[in-house]
Amino acid sequence: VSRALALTLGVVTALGGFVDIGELVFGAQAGARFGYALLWPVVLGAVSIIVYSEMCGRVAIVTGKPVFAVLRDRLGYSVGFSGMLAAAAVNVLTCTAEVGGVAIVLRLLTGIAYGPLVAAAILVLIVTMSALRFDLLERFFGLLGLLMLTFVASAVALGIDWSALAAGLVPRIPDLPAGGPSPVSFAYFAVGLLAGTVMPYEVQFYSSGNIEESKTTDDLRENALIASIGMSFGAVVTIAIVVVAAQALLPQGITPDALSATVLGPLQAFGQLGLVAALLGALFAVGGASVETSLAGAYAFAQFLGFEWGKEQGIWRVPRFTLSWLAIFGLAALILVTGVDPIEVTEFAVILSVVVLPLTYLPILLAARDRRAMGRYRNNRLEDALGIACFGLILLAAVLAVPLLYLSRMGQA
Amino acid sequence: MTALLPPLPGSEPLDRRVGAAFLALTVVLIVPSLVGVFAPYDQQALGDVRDDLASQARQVLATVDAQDHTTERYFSAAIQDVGERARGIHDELVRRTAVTDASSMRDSLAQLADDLSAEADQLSLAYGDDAALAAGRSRVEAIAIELQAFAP
Repeated sequence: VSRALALTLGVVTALGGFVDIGELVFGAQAGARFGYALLWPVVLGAVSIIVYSEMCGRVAIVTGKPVFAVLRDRLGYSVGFSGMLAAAAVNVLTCTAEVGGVAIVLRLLTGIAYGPLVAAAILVLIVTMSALRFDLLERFFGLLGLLMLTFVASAVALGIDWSALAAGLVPRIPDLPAGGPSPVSFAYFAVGLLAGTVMPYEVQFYSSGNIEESKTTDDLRENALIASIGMSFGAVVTIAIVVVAAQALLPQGITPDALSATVLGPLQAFGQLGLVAALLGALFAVGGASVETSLAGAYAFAQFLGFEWGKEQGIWRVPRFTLSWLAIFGLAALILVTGVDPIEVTEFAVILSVVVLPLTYLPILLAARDRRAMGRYRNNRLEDALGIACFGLILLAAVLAVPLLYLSRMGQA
Repeated sequence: MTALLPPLPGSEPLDRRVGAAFLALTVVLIVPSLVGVFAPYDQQALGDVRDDLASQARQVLATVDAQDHTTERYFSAAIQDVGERARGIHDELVRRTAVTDASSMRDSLAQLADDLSAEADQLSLAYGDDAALAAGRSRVEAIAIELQAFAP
């Protein structure tokens, strides 16, 4: 029973923790601009994150090595250091976007000015991270993040166009009306949605989490089920965000460049209850992602440079690790103090993350295929094929991401 | 503080060629965004600004129309934020130069951004005041229509 409970909690936590500000921003914008036509990048992204989460979780359990220890082993110090530095920069940007998102949602809930809420959000997140054990921290945000299911309920209440949904799951470029968004913008949002689903901090956090929770090879089946079921349901929430925007915002000509517009769909579907539930869901989803990004950055430093790490160690026994995640929050605060728009930071963070992603995914793939390191737990043929196909997809997105960012003028073209 | 911390066991000298390649790639990724920030407005960039402002005006209209179902705090914050963003766009339009054939369009858009900002500020305080909401709504609708008709 306790194993089934652990599995259920793991699945539910993965579901609740799946969505972050990247999905909220790109999902709503994609739906408001292109209707249902951009659902397929979410599916491709979900398959990729499931494959690589399972793989990095398995490598961590079998070898005891999390992502950045593997990265150093496989790519060497200099290339690995560059990858670690790039991942750290993306983690800082992502954490900035998430913390800014928390402050925006709090502002919409309370009406208090944004500036003080940034400081309050960081303070509360730091206290929460210091006070809660790893598993409680993960479950607290994951379970409350289930309020994001409001978007699924809203999609149903607003009336899903099932044939358009089915068509949107098939990769294709639709006929775009003259004077509307261009194919370049379509490609930009396709890459953005894919990238938002496979943010590098997710595998860094997932892999380290398996070590934090002292999982053994007996837990490999649970690892695979949590990755596949939890994240599949998480992808359904992302699809719902796109669908709600397509139903509620596209007909009104609103392209949501603020979170206040993203929740207009739940407001339209369920009134005040829908509005508050969606805002609370976004608060815990984005709050959880703030915690995960700051920890993922600290994991990266610690695992690559070889100093003591672990949320389960408390804050005093691993001082460099604690200082690392505090520094990431500090840098996020400094960036937000400049007055930069967190939504714009999100777009840059998501696009730059996919550029960095191959450096994180390649070592995982190499390690998971290595018979000497993994023994009988190495990839089977199906896992190999999926891993290589998803890596190819990520590599293509990495090459296209920055040119599309500029050519599409951040999706305005 | 560092005296309290254990040494970093894992650091090694960095291969300078890898470091140089990393720096070069970083510059290549960042420079185009800096060029975009300092380049003067052309018709295309102003078209993007127009679309952005028109979408914000429509968001205000949608929020006003849903007033009965929102909370007062959400209503005020959401509309106030649109006002602030419109003010930011206005300030950016005034600050940055425009190419010769786009300067009059830039000035007109700056005026519309200023108008939208002022209307949003007033509307954000009008929760529950039906007369003020109706008057403000019609003025924002006029701005949205004007923006829509604005050909780059």
